[in-house]
Amino acid sequence: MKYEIISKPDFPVVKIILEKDETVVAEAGAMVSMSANMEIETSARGGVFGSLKRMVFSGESFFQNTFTARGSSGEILFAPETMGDLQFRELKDEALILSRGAYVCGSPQLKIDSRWGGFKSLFGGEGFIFQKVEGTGLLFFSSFGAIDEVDVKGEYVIDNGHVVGFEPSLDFSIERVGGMKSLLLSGEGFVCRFKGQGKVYLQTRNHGSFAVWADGWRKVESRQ
Amino acid sequence: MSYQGTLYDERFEQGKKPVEITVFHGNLLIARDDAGSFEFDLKKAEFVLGGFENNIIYIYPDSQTKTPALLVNDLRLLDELRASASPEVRDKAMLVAAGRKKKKTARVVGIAVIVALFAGLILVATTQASNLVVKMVPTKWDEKLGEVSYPSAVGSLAPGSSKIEDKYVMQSIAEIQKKLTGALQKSPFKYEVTILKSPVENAFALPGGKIVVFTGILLKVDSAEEFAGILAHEIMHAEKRHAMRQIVSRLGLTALLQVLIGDFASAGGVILEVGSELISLGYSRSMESEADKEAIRLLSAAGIPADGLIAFFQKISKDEKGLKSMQWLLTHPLSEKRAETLAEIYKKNKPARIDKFAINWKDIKARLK
Repeated sequence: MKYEIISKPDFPVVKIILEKDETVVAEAGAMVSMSANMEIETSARGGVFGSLKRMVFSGESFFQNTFTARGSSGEILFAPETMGDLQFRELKDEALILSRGAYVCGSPQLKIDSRWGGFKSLFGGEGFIFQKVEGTGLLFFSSFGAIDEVDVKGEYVIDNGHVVGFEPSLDFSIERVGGMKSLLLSGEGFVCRFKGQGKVYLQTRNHGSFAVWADGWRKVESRQ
Repeated sequence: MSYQGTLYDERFEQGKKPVEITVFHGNLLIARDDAGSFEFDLKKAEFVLGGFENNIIYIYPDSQTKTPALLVNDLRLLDELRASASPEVRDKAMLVAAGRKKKKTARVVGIAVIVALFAGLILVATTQASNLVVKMVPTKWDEKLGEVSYPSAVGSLAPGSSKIEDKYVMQSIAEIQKKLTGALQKSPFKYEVTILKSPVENAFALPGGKIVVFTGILLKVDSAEEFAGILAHEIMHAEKRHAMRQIVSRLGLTALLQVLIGDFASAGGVILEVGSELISLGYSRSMESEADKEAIRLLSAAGIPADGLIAFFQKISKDEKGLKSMQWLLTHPLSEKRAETLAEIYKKNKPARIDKFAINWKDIKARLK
């Protein structure tokens, strides 16, 4: 499996070249274009319960598509749902924790499971269930805006809407910034304080803030 | 035994290196893959439990700077340290293990609370929805359902029992009934009490106002007030449409939707079809206590002291102790506690005036024997 991320950084698409009979797994609806010899199989990977869990809790699709290059090699392009960057990471018998909806596509060997983030994450702004991607293989995940990597050494604070994923060696707690006044007026609200050693991926834009901004332009029927 | 870990140190090119760890004389011997090994003095080190799933041991030789940091994602290291290390190290290892247990428990409790909240929400939502639907179901349906299910209800409890036609008895019953129904506010139902000759010690209300009383229970009663209490309880089952509520909530979403979108014809068919079977399942405990509470109010509004109903319950609770179970008990969960609860409610709902019945219950009993 070879890959290239094109149209970076604004509206990237990942182009994956599959060898004959090689397979890639993707979220339903992520495919942009592909060679004619690609065979698509749609299945509830991980069983009905696993898929339900994935759909309800992690914001992913119930069905996932498996694409296989038949007869010869072939190419296939995937894009994330929102405008934002695509990040690639090769997992070598390790795990990565992703926020709700961040998974785009990856090797079929990767195991994806939902993980309850604890009570604290109810205020986390990332949904209270995370996805744990585990195993050996290629992983592509997306962000809203650009993706930045931070190596946490000890502690690091990130706004709760900006976390895309992190290594499982890290844990986080949810905290208020400052006192009640800053909670209500600073526009910062809650933040995630990461503890330990490891990498955090953060996105340079926040879905929630964008929704609030866009809401101002929503057409509202006037009542007479 | 050796463990895999990662050593984070700013002096390394990538900031970290995989290492192999062994416990050696109570200290950690750390071997790096690019040659060189060194020892960690555990006595001064800080132990912390970390990681998203609380399964990583962080060991900081310098708890101030937190660098370098050793990560081990194998909790068996704690066990080995607890067994072989010095007392100080052993204490640190035990503290970390205890912290993990605590976090695990908190997680389980958290998940349980969330699940319970969801279940509660669903329960409240369905109860609300079925109450709403019951309000939309015409009261004519209750009457129809009562008529249809009468033969099977009587047949299952006391097959072949005959109606009591005795004038004195029926007139007295009618007098009690009239007093009670007269105190009801705008009832949609016409009440009809049938007395059946049978040793069955029971009474029940069918939807729509049909009430059936067996002579078995009448012989247990010692006054008109006691009987008025039982009758008031059964009337309130019908008045509060408990049967319909039960049916609607058990029929589930399909029937609810049919009623809500106005498809009364098919919903009615379903209700009539399964309704009589469902009635035989009896009412829920909350419905029984609602009927009790409302019965006290009705009695007071009619000027009948509820002492009768309470006395009847107390009398039966003695039977309960003697294990002489009475059929009314099986369908009406009953105990001294219930009598106590009723007495409490009665205290707040005493009748403004009392109308004594001029009925001699001994005569009625004699005529029923």
